[in-house]
Amino acid sequence: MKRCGLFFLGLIVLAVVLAAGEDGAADVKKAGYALLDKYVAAFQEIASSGSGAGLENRLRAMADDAKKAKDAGEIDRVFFTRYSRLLALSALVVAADQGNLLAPVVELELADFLKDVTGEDVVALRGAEAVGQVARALAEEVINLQLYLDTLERREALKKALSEGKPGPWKK
Amino acid sequence: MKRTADVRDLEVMDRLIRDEIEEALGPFRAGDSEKRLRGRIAQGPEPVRSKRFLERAAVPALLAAAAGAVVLMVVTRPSVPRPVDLADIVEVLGRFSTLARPAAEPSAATDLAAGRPEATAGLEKALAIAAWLKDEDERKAPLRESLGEVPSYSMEERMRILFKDKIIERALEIVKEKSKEA
Repeated sequence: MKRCGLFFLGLIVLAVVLAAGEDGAADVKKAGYALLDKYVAAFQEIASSGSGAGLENRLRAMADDAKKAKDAGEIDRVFFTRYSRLLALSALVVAADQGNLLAPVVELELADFLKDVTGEDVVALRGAEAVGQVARALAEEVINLQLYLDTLERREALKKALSEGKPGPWKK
Repeated sequence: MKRTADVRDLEVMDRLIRDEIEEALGPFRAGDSEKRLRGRIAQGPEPVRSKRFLERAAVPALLAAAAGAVVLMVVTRPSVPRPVDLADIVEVLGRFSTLARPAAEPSAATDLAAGRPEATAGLEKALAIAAWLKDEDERKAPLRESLGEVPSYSMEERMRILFKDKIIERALEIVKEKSKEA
């Protein structure tokens, strides 16, 4: 019985240590993952239902959520900026643009976004090729944001090592 | 003779043991032992000494704490978002994005044409198409420049420019004629 008690005591200590180790990064991850999940879920649901009604409203709601999370300190500035850009670009390309009023803005923003995310130049502005290129870039940015969250602790460790003048792993 | 001494020793030891036994049993034999026995039977079995509260609560408390810690870890652990599916994004953009629309004549032209006299509608449509084509070329030009390419026009593009210019020319002629008539 005593052994059993010691085992569970060890388990508790382990849980406490793990929980303490995650601290702030865990909060940022949790909020960031939830926001990314909302974005992916929106596309999944709209693709499966075939109805685009409310897509812009959903993107707007996600932007509001991101703003609230940023104000509450649940996500960091880097994630907020990049996530907001992802939402803005998505809203821009699905906006009902009567008379192609937004076309110059869309093109400039697309050119910048593609260059930053995939390193590509704009291959087309209309048609299947344009859709494919933008979709790939949006998916790539979602993956980039998830990887950013996944590696938050590693980043902090590297920053700390750099600030302390310790050699990084690249100097082995 | 020796044998007699041994027997005597044994008798002494036997007497000592018996005395010890008698002495030990003495208190139980005093008074009415039967009555005491019946009283004890009537009282029932002696209750087992209960464990102290801490002894009893320690293991369940440890188990509960361990379970709580595990639940807390599961709850607070950030759940990874569902994987992004490129096909979903392509599907949504393909259906609802302006990128998927073919580069047709602008909707503004048809809107303008609606409910107008034929000549005016034709003129406005021609002007709208010309303006739209001009805008599209202007939009493409800075993009090409930003990409570091020297704008060079193919034969098809030159024909488009020529065609566009003719539209403007024709539109201006119509306006000129209409102003003369007025």
